[in-house]
Amino acid sequence: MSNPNKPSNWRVLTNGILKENPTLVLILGTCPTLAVTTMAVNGIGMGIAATVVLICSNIVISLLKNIIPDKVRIPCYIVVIASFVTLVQFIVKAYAPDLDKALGVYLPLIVVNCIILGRAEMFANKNTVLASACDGIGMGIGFTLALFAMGSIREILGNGTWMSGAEWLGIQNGVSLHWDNPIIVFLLAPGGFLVFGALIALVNHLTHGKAIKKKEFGCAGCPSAAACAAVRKGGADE
Amino acid sequence: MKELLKPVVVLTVICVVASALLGLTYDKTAPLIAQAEKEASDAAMQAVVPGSTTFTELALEGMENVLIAAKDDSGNGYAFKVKDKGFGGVYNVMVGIGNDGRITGVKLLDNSETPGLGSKTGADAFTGQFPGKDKSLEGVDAVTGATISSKAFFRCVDTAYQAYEAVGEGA
Amino acid sequence: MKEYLIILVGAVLVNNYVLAKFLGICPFLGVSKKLDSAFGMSVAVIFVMALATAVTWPIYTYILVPKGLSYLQTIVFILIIAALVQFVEIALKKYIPALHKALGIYLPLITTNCAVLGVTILNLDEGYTFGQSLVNAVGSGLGFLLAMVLFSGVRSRVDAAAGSTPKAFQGIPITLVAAAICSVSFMGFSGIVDGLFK
Repeated sequence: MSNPNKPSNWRVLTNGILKENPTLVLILGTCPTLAVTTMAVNGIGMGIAATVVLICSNIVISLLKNIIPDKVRIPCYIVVIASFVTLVQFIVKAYAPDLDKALGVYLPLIVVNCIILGRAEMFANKNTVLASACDGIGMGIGFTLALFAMGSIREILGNGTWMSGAEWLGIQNGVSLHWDNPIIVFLLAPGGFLVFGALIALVNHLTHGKAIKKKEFGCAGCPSAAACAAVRKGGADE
Repeated sequence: MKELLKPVVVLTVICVVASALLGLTYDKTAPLIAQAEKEASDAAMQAVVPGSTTFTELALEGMENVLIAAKDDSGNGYAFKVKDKGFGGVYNVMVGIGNDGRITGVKLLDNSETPGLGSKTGADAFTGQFPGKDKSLEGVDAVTGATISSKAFFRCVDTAYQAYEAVGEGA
Repeated sequence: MKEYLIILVGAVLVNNYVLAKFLGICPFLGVSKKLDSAFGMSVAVIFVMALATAVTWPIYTYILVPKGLSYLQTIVFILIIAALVQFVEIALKKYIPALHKALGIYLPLITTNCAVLGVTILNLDEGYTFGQSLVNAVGSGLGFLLAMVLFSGVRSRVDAAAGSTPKAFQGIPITLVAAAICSVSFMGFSGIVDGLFK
């Protein structure tokens, strides 16, 4: 704690949940955020799966940070992350096959979730194992909470239910509002974009725009940030 | 030379170690996954043929859309797992057909239909219309707003009847 | 021929990767500000998607499945895509410098584009043959191009009106709302395959 540049592990953990929430503030991992949140429980499932991968890959990459040569670090990270994703796939298929069906292709696609590669590049390869694990837990919880919030809004408005299909979590039947005509569009693709936009706007409003301004677009957390910035700069020059 | 070699060696070692660990866990989890799949499949078969407990799988040649054809051991009927293409892609249905050639039950299995629209072809309001109907499916209504998914379901039932006739008991 | 057309139209319009399947959202939000960068990125994506499918499909079908290693799909595919992107970059730089100049900066972004890994996995999930997979890959890429190009137009309008956007909605939120409206318009295509070909 004596060094002000090194935040305590607790700070690292809570940062991911609120101040640097990966989904709503850094705007990372947008694809699964939009795709699987038709049901609250799918959001939780995706969140937990990604969190497990994130914590494990953060720990391993932090352990290997002195062994991995700089030149091949990204391929090495990808191999580590892909291995943990495959591991999680086995576990989900064996113990929660319904969740596997609900998440579909987005389960293997955790590999290219930029939160995970981003944290490997931005945090785990320059911090201690413990700090990296805390970062993984915090970011993971932040991601899960954001997905859960989106899933809840979309499921309640679009299907008139909440937490249905949560048998694998030990919750039977969930809550039904008994609506005859729920607003189906919230379950469809446009509803995903709309709810996501509204949630970010809400965070913007609550933080008076500070959160977003600090990290414009959240690209800083993305491993391809430099290339992306070059593209945008190139476009702006003309 | 060493500069060039090290990255390659490290990457290779990581790949080999990762694959080996995955291979080990696969050996451990594969039986569990197979069991989970079998349980799901058995549960679906029991659900579409009331009164059944165990099934014997029947060999069926030349029908690539029929994934499983099985006969209830206690003689209540047959269960067919049929695949087709829905709106979003894969669309699998379990169809139960009794000895009298009437449907005993249907159940939507794997599918990637749009939640709230195509996915409604898996709801009781739709599947509940089928029991007691014969091959013509007279009086079964498609789900409003999910014509493509409903048609896929009807095609699945049709395929199941072809399989039913092929196993010989339908004649 | 007809089945290929159905797959193509389905991939471009009905199951559009960006606006209906939510794959490739990062570049969709990140690189759609300018029409020419949106176009360049999309062309690079189409190219890599087709190439990745051409390589992963035979490897999965003729090596991984016979050896009982299909569980290594995720790890093998992402490595192939990463290697392909590197290889394409080097090859372009050496042999077609003009093309490299135009597309080079987009290539590193593509490894982590989930649309590319997504199309290689989905092709196998759907049980497509090699030919169908290639058509689906090109179609999905074209769908990505269509969404990117259309959206860059929408976006320049939205950005031009930034002054009248409520403060909390400025930036990403209003962009997402605009994407929602684009996505509504693509829903209009949902019956088109049935209507055109059956």
